[in-house]
Amino acid sequence: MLILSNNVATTTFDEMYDKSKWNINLLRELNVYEPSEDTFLLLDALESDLENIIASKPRMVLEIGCGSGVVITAIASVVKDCHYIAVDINPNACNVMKNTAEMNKTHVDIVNADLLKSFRLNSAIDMIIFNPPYVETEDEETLVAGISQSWAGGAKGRKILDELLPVLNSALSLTGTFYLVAISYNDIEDLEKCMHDYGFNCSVLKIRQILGELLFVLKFSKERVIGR
Amino acid sequence: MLTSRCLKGVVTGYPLGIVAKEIKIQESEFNKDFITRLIPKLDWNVFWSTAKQIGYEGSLTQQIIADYENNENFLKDVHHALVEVDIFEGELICPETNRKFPITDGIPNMLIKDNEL
Ligand SMILES: C[S@@+](CC[C@H](N)C(=O)[O-])C[C@H]1O[C@@H](n2cnc3c(N)ncnc32)[C@H](O)[C@@H]1O
Repeated sequence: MLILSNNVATTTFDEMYDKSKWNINLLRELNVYEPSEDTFLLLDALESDLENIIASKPRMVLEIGCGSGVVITAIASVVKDCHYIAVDINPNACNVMKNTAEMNKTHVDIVNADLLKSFRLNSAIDMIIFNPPYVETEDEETLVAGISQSWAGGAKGRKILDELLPVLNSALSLTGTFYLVAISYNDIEDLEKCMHDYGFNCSVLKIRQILGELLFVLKFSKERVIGR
Repeated sequence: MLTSRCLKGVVTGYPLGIVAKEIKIQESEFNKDFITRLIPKLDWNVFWSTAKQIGYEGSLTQQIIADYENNENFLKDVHHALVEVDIFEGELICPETNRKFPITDGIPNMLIKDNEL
């Protein structure tokens, strides 16, 4: 059955904090982004929204920049009967993702790709999750392959994210949602405005103060056409 | 692992050709309702031709049958090709340029070098 009791769900999400759920040695050996404050804030946000996620009966969920894979694996172990896809530009992250999915006995399709550039945009995806490289850096730094791509976000930390925003609407289904981690200097107000122009409403799921900056988890939903 | 699945449905340079060098079958529980709900998300023609190229089309037909909701055997063949068949080693081939994208350990590498843009 699709509906799991909240009990089961809570346990599973919390378990993702536990290092036995992912292989920290492999992760360090392959130099992949280690689950951090932002990862856990995203997990908390998804957990707080879990009832809505389950009620929307997603058939296809995709995480961009899956890194270690703990986020999509947490959902995949709780929300069943759904097809999961994980994308990362870093081939090592794809390998760690694979290991994390297997350790937790979940099925996740993994693709080594740049954002949604090799995907058909046919409104098939019900939910997209992204904890992007959001740190403000020189633009050139975003082009260096490897671990620095986990954080290097170019001007305002928005360079990679801004490449994705225009295609989200056509990637997502009518009831599709987009979950995003962002930091205060990404200019949240402007982000909301941009997404509004692309046809999305925004709500704030979580805010946490980390090292003097505010970290957000935002949820964007397609604006309903009146009469639906 | 199910890498070919999403590619059948959603990856472009469209449709990609596929060569499977090593296939792994991973049994997974058949869920009729889930498969029925997933079919509308597939580009049927591409799904069928991909399954055929790797020899796993079973009873599937080029045109989707009208009352597939009620045809358990048909749904089971979709389940098999879509969920259980995993292309472990192989390549995807761009129909226009013949550019090959390798699949290693079930993970396709779709990255394009700067000079290919
Ligand atoms: C901040 S880390 C988040 C990792 C993981 N989701 C987590 O929450 O712990 C960002 C991830 O995005 C990946 N990434 C960066 N640029 C990307 C791009 N253009 N396409 C796909 N993935 C990208 C990085 O390799 C890295 O794994």
